[in-house]
Amino acid sequence: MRKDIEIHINTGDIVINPHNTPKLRTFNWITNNGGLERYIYGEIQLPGNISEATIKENGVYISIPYTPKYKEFYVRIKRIFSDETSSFIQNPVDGSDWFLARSGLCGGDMKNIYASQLLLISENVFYIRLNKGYANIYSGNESDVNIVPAKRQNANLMLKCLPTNNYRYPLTGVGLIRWVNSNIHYTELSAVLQREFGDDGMNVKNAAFDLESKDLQLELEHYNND
Amino acid sequence: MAQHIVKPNQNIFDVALELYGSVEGLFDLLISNESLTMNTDLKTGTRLEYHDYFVINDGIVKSIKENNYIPANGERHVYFKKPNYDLFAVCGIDNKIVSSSIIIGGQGNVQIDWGDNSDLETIALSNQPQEITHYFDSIVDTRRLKFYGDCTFTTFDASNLNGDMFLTRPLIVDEYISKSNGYSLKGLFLFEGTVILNLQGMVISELEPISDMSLQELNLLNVRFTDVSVLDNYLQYIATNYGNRRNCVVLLNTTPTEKGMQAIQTIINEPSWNDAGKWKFIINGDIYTKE
Repeated sequence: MRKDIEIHINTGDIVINPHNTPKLRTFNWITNNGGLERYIYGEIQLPGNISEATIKENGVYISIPYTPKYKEFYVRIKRIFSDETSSFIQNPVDGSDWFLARSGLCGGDMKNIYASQLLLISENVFYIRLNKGYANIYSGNESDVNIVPAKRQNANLMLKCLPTNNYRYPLTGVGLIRWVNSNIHYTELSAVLQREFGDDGMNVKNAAFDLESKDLQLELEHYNND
Repeated sequence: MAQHIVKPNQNIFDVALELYGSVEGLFDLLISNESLTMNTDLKTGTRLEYHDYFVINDGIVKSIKENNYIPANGERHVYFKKPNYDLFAVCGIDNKIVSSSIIIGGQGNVQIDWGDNSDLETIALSNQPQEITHYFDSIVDTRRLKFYGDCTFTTFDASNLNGDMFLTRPLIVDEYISKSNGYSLKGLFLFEGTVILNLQGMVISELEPISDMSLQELNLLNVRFTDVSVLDNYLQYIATNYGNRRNCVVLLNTTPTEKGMQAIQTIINEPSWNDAGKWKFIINGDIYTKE
């Protein structure tokens, strides 16, 4: 039995507070005199006894406070040894010490990120992983619940729901069971599918019903905000 | 015929339960209010008529009244609220705060995700400032308001926003008002074109976010600085990093120290900075300006 998923006693929502407690490394914005004006530069400091291979393999957790600068940024990783000497991890692509920061905001592709946008990823803890000459930035918080779009689940709910079942919208629902246990009039079913999903912001692009297996294949497209 | 004022987060079933003691009372509600349907989205403050003598379950009605219960289940959204514009600000609100309000005017559209179960609210801006008030319809652990938009503001009054505002991209705001609160000014670093700043009655620990603004009017009346050096450093920054800023009227109750007063003297006595118009510092009613 799972014990790590909890429901908040007051809010009734699933608790998605982070459960990990990573070791946060020192991060500072620094002045890079040889750098370009359009970027700002940050430095992560690590003890020298952490090997380069480990950093590349496992990434680094850092905390960056809100930075009100609408500029893309580079980071470098400095390893400080016990004799106070230091070395930087080298970018394998251009041979410099610097890695351009990128992130996939809102589930999108990896793109250069602006410092002021960091709070869209996380409010405090970040996880940085070096990849192909870039520093990819992710939220450093991990919880047991993975939040992903639940369109398939919603579609199933809509199909199963019979009108009168839904407390707030009593007339909503395809009520597929009504159709499965009767002779299906495809035109009528398709009209109901279009109407019900359309009202919920989904466009039914294609639907196919398998009479043998009683499976309904739906191809849906999200078209508005609701 | 009696009247019921819809409370925050109540749907028609909640109202029926509160008034009649049963959801079956819904039919009386529908009969008594011609415009009401099963799909009406009830708004807080809407007046509904009902027959007060028609009670279906007296025990429940009494129990709700005696215990001060408010049936308020609202509605939850199935699909993700997808905004039409880019995000420009995030605001952290204490989870005990029940409402938030802003007064905004400008051009373009703003879309607000209030961080509860309500729809995204789209506001078409006009030069006439409008007050937008929202009562939160959910209980949460942490509440974050998100502002999306393709807009510029002539006025942005965040006095009753009830939270820290952090900008994610530059934003044109002509006049910014934030009165009587102690929230961070950090987001103001990304303001552009701001000419009037009214921070009356605030508790301020830093003025760096506004240091480079070319203001026409800065109202710092009744401000409590965590240390007077905050004000001194701001004045000294202007004197040493003047740049292309315009002359400004500064209203103050707090008297700067000698260091700050020296900076004021430098500003008001530099001829080129007072050519187009004079700098004016009004401190406790005393006016400091170029003779």
